[in-house]
Amino acid sequence: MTKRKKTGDLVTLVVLILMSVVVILPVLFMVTHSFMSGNELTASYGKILSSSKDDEDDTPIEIDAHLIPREPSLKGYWDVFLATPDYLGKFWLSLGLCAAITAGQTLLACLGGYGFAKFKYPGKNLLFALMVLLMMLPLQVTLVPNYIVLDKLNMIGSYSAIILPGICSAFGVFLLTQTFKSIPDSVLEAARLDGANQFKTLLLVVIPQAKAGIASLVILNFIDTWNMVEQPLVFLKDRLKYPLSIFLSQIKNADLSRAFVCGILAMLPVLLLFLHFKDALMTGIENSALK
Amino acid sequence: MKQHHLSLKTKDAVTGFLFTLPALAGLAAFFVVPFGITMKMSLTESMGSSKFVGLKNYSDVLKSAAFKLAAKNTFKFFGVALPCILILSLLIALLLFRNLKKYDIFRTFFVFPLVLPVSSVVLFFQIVFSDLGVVNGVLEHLGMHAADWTGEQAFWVLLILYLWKNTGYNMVLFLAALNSVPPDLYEAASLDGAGWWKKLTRITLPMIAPHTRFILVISIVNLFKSFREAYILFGDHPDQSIYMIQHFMNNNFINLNYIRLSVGAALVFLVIFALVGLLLGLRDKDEGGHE
Amino acid sequence: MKTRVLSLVFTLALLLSAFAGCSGETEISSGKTDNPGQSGANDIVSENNDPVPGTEEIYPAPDYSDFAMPEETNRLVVYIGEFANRVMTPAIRLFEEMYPGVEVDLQVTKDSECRQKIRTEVAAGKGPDMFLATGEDFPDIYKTMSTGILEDLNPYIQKDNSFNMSEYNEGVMRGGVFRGSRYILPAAYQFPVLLTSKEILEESGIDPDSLNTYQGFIDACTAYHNAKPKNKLFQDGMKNGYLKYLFEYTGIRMIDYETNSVSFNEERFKQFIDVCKLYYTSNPGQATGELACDPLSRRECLFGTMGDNDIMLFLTSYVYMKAYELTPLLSLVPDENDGATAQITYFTAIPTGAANKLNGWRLIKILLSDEIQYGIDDSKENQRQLFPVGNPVRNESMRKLISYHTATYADFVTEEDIQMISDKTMTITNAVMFPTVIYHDVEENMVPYLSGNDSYEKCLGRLKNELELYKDE
Repeated sequence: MTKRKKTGDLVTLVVLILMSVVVILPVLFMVTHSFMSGNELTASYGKILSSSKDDEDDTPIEIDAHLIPREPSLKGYWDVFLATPDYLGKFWLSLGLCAAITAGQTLLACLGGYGFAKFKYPGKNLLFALMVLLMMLPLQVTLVPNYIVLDKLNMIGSYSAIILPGICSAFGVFLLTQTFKSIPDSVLEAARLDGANQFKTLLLVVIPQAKAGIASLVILNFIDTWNMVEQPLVFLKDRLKYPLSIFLSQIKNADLSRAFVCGILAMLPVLLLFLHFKDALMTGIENSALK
Repeated sequence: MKQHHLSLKTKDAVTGFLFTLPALAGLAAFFVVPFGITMKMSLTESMGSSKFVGLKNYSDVLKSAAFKLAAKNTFKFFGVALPCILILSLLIALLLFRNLKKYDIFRTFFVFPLVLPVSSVVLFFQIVFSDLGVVNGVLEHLGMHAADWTGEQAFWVLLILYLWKNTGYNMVLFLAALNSVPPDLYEAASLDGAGWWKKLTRITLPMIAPHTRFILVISIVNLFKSFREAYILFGDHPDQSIYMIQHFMNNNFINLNYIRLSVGAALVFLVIFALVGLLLGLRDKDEGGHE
Repeated sequence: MKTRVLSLVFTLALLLSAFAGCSGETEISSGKTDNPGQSGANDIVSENNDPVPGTEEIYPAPDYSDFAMPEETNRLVVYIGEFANRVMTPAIRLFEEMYPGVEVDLQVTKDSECRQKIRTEVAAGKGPDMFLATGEDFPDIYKTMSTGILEDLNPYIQKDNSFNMSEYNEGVMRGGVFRGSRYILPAAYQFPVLLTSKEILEESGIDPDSLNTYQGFIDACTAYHNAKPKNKLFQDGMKNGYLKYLFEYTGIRMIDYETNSVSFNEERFKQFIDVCKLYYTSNPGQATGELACDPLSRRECLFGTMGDNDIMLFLTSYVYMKAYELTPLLSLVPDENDGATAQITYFTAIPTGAANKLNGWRLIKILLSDEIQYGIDDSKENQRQLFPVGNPVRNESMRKLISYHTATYADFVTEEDIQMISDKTMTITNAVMFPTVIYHDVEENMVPYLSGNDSYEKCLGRLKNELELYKDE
């Protein structure tokens, strides 16, 4: 039994390591390359990115991809941080926007999730199904009509045009409904017997139990809003109000060093958020093995 | 004699409804109403007039060769990508679940792809998969023919991109699902002499079925979102193998043909409706009217 | 249970609509209500409403009798990209002088951002009151025109006496007519010419006059190859996208947007492709970056093309050839109807949902006025080959451009040369603005035939298939 477990463990470890390498390779790539000088980057990758293969050209493909910088330089970071004055401003702006949307959505989701998960009322299932359906519609479908609605509400040009629809996205409700469902009813019964009203139950009993789900929601929502590009572009009028995501999406491949650095910088807040909530994600998950 | 207060059941129903009200109101304003506008647009004659023409636009679109190709490719892609990602992320979750403390670092690794911004991912994939890129270089080195990754093989590139990005996401959700299975079930099965396969198929899979449905929906949402990378990598009119419904809709948007776009959107909605209806219908059967 | 029933109902609805799609006649989706009773002849025939040569008139001009100019409003909303703003700024200034009571809201944006925003706003019925746009803003102007989102400008032209169509290049203006209505007014165009010399032609026994017809042009290219098998057709090889350029010049319409079908003159197309094939294999060549006059003077090729260079650089070649003691000849590539097709670069239009159409129309008139037309190619740093559509100013405009190059060749370009080019622009019979996707498709699918790897029929079949898909989108 122990021997089988040991081999099982070894196999698991190997598989996990292999997969992890595949998965983090692009990230590692970005990190190391952000410290390379512009010249090195153009020399290695310029040709790959700008030309295409000529069918009759027989010259062998030379790859010069490498992970360790040959000409390490912080110039990329300098360029982005200091040479672009509004970068930091945009950074905090985006952060504020994302925080607002995430907070709002979490609140809405807690309320809605509780209602959908633990209560019954006629038509509830139908409404829930409708909500899920509309959540799945791709962006092109909702962009134009959303504009029409927001325009009627006179919100075009202000940040509320982005924040409000963001808060009302059905994703949070969906996620938390699922999470709350797995909280056993007995816990709620107990709370009710203790005389707590619904709000108290939600706040003091349900939410602490669902920390994992809420943490997932916060992280995922933050990721979505942090990378959001189409909505601010269309719903805001003033270019100065654009969040960081738009700035990042406009960096062309021509300026490789900048592209890499900006990628890393865009990644950092989200990563930090994840590391912060990492343990919350695992609350309640006991350390039980399958075997 | 009138009852002094409402029955507990009705009171509950009202409370439940009130809890879900904010979410529903947001949904109505920013999703239902816009979609209604889209539906209305799909039934009008042209952008210049608002003559109602019934289903004529629908028959036009359904006869279009481009739409048929897009629909076929979309179904094909979904049909391949969804099982792949569910199996893959479940597999990884199962592996990690064996010993969460030890494998914690891997969990962080798998989440990395989510935090990398789209532009960086695209840059990396361009370097790897372009005509003169890394993969072709390796293939030539091994004596094989370089492939045209923007041509017929684009399907696989997209698939790999989707799997790479979203497996971590689903893995986190699967971990929560696995955790919800009471460990005593496994202990009892062990006592009965059940091996790991039996435990997997008889206990784990059925127990996480509701979670799996949920994860499936989320995967579909992410699959729609993944087309952003497809656009950046392959352009507006990609190879026939990856021309999907999103391309159809986006190109009509670019040509200002919103009528056709709305028709496409409505059809997408119908299909998703059918799918979700089936999913939830199955759920009703499973949980025996628990709702 | 309920959700299940509903989902079944909707699936059925979906299937039914698919069947509805299969039956029924193929209708041509038109953005206008027209009278199918009128066949063929156009009752209201204005000289600028001529049908595209070679296509049937199946869309009679609509009835404009109850059209009234839009009401006066006191606003004008205009979006413009950074580059085109150099044309828009003086135009707005003029507008403000002429119409002081109107508040002008001019928004300058980075080109690519502009587009997503404009598209959404126009869909919502908001947005600018007029466009000054290029092919990048509207990748497929014909599809856009067929959605009915652009205003028909013919009644405006008819009702407004201050606007005179005869002052504009007739051929280029024809490019704005689509299915009997005029949706765009071109503001500037590009005029693809080839440079050669009398001596080169005589050497290979080609009569210079024969270059005026399509057949003659094809024959000349073939004759040159037979006379000088090692020589190239252009100063750069046929690879590097020159198939695309030459194809663009011929103005062959692969998709007939008027009837919404993939139909083109297959004989002419094959002639064209076969000429390309002759030169593709014999002497591919790479881009040399030289001026056209140098390879021409060395007698290495038949024609010098403009490619991406601007007309003034081309004029340099023209002038230098005189120094090489050659008699330069500017030749048009005849289009498949033996005329000449220009490429529209800038155009104006008004969205049907605009709130201030009258002001939009006024701005269009200003953009097409002599003053602005004179300056439309006015960019010393960033020269593009733009010709103004306004007839009165064409010579002056060219003189102005030449004056920027006083050091290089102003002294060598004579009045005769200017007049010659100017006269050539008056031979334009039509103008188009095809989506670049079509050119890419042609090149991509025909190259296997050019390089000898596949048969013509197979390549053509694949090309038609891709065009069908594109047309059907």
